[in-house]
Amino acid sequence: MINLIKKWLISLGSPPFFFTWASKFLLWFYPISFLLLLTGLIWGIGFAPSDYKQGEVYRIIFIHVPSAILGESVYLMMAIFGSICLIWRAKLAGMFLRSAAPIGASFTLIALVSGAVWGKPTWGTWWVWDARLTSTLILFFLYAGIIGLYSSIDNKQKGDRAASLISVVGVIIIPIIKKSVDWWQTLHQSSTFTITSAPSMTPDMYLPLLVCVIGFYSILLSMLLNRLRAEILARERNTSWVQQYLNNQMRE
Amino acid sequence: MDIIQNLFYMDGQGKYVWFVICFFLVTIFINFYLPNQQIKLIKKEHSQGIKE
Repeated sequence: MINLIKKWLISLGSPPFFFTWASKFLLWFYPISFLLLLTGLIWGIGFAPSDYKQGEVYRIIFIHVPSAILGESVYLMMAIFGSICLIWRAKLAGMFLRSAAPIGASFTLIALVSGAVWGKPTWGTWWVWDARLTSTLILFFLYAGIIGLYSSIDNKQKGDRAASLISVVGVIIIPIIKKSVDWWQTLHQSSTFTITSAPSMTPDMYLPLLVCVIGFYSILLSMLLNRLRAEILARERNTSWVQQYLNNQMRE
Repeated sequence: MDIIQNLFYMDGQGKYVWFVICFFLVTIFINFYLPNQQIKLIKKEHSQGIKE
């Protein structure tokens, strides 16, 4: 059984196999991911009770927290795939980096914008140079740097290696973001989700947030696979299997 | 009717919440739209290449 899983995982590294698998997987995963996301958002925005201190504006949490978690998670994944790309020079790892960077940047931007909009009615300001906010802004710049790097380097392999290097070196920002609220005095509240302690929110607020986080992760997976499919087609367009695939698509 | 009004107005804080929701939905849409357009473009170029 373990050997079978190992073999399957290794074969996933091959672009044609991955492309076929992702296309089939997305067919049934798209509706599931959208359903999960909608359930979490409708539950949180429409049915969760309002906060006794902040009132209704706290509902931004159902978008802000999952986006911030995803912004960091995508960067962690990029660091892992960046190491794979540097060590084994796996083609698919480079494609992953290029596909994941805009998605990670999007979620980090959503976290920054939603945080600013939430900050105005609660803190009285859109932005402060607080440790959590500033470190998250640096994360966004790292993503922007990787995206810029890809568009400025024509050679795909060189672009992959440079992006891998930035992802691996830049991963130091993740523990800094995570610990920023403990290491420095900040306006930002402490982490909503921790593995070691029980949630400080009531279940009728915490559960929709949990569903939102799961929904956001599933949307992330859909987005990643979709972008990877496009990236594989773009990079392998001159290979025989892509030509074959495109011919079949034309016939359909 | 009151329920819908409350959902949009949210005690005067609805503008913040709904702006964030709209911004999120637009970003998600762009992230699905762009790769699909890229795939469409590749298919189009392929079919044009064959015709030529």
